[in-house]
Amino acid sequence: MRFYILLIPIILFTFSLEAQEKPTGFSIIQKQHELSKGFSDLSADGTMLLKTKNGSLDTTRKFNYVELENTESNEGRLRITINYPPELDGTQLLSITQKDNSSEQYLYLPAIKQTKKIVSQSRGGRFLGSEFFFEDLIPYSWKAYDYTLIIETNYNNKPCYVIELKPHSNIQSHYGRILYTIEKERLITLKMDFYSAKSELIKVAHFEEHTLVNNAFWRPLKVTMLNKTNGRATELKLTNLQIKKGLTPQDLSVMKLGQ
Amino acid sequence: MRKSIFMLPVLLLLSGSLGAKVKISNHTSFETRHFVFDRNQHPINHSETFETEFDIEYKNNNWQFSVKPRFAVDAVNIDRLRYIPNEAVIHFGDNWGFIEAGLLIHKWGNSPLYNPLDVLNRHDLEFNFFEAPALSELSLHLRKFFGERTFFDFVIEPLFIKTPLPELNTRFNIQGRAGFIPFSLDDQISALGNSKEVSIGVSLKQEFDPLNLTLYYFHGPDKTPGFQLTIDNTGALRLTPFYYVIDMLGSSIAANLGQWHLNLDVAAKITKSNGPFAHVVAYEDGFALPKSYLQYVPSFDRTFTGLMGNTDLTIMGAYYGDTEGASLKNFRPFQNDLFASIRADFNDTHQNTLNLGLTKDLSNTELAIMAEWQMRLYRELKIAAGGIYVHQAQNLNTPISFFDNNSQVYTKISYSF
Repeated sequence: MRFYILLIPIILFTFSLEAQEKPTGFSIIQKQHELSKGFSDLSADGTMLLKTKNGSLDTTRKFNYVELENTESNEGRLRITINYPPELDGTQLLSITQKDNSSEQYLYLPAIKQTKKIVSQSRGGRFLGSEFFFEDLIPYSWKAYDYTLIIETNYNNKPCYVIELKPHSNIQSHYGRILYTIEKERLITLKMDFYSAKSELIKVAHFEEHTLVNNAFWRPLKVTMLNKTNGRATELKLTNLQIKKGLTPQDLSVMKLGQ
Repeated sequence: MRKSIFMLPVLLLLSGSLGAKVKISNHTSFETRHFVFDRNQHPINHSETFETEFDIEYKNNNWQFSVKPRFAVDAVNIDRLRYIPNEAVIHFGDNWGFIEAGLLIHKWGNSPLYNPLDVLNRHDLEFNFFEAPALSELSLHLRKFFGERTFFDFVIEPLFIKTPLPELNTRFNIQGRAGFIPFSLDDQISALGNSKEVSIGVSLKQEFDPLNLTLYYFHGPDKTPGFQLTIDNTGALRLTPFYYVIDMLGSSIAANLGQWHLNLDVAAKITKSNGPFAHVVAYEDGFALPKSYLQYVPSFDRTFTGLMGNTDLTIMGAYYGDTEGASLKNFRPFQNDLFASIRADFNDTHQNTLNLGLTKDLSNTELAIMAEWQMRLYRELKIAAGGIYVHQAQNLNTPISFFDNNSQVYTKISYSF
């Protein structure tokens, strides 16, 4: 769902979760959130590979990624600036999560030099033809969901928790629920299953190639979103990850879109 | 353009030494356009247009320099040769706002198809009369942010350049009759009128969620000229363009109501002239200066996502109103018209898209139907095919009916890197 969620696996400390008595979905997510705190801001270069049903490469997009941590004092902000292909060069998506868990999204289109607001009802649309919905690219507010620990199981030979997320009734989402598969040892998310309101599995996100940024925060360098309804996939790769560059909300403001 | 090419190695050197970024991209296309019906008096019934445009951008902290050298040539019509940069801008910005100078294309108003608030730039009517591309203007532009919801813009354009109008040998050369006397356009001896006036524009934008309000003021020569009937040194009656001043007060109100985007653009234009510009022969009411007028365009759009699996469908509609009627004096498009369009993005491997549009003049029988299909052949190689069917009304001085037989078909192949 929210891209920040997709990035949670990336932002965790090396961590061994001590055996706890009956952990709950909420306590696990809360712990994961605690471990992800403190990166302040993150910037990276990215490549988005759109793949066909048979797995062959369809289109490549390149982008710059900047994220501002959602803290007590700052709203969470995320900005994606496309720099390839040339016809999309300069296209920007800015997502802001307010302190009350509401969110705003703006899309800057250089061809018409115009910024358009994406209302919540339209966030089920695909971002530049990829398998990521606009909704997937909103900084995640972990307090906006209910969590239930469904099962403890092995995934890729690693002990994992499977936690169900359901959005609060005041949160407009195109997903009915999401299943997080979280590795017990480092509390990093390895997989997310997205279900529609009718409980149909529509997408699966796989998180791979986790790296420790600044020896403190786990981030995956590769996220693959597989669309179960059309068989296509979008692979997202990040490089040159940098944190704590001192970015401010003014650097990622609506007004600065297009500059 | 030459200068910008010489800048390239300098920029590349600087990029290495200062850790700055240089980005170069290109878009090249070839379009063949054919007018379905011969107009008899004009030999040119098609165009073969090759266009290539580079986008060179240099960024270094708060500074940015960008230039878009463009070269366009029509194998059939030498008047459509273009080699000026589309934009060439030096930009300095920070959290307070930005200042930029150079050849700029500005964006005022939100209306689709025809935007009455778009007064800061000329449009190249000679290159494409039906979809005239905006031309950059030598400008200084200052934008000041006030928080995240408000900004103020100031634009000054010290230099005026004539709008390119279709030449004598082109399909859209303006010809008509004043009574029984035929006349034709003479752009070479145009009376420039108020063209020495400096253009000044200011705007203020404020967001009141879910409403965006922008107020505009513009003073300067209207980039689209008026026309005066004169007699040239051979004794022939000619239609001579002249430029008059407008004071424009405008507003743009945009709102999101659920998935519906609503917009209202309004422009009140007060026309002024430093000369009487009376026709030298009896025509209309004697004076060529357009009357002051008000234009307004309410519009909407909505996108339906995920139809039949992956298809996104966008519907759009607009009404164009103008308080003055169509005449050669008030030679403006869209004075009482409806526009509707549907765009389907199939989001498939070939990125097929289909665009259908219709404009209807509610005052007469004028009608235009547009259709375009576009697909990706391989990577960034694209092909498009389309057509415009135009039904004109009889004996009307409007941009559509003044020229008969405008229906056209075209194909275009393009590549970007």
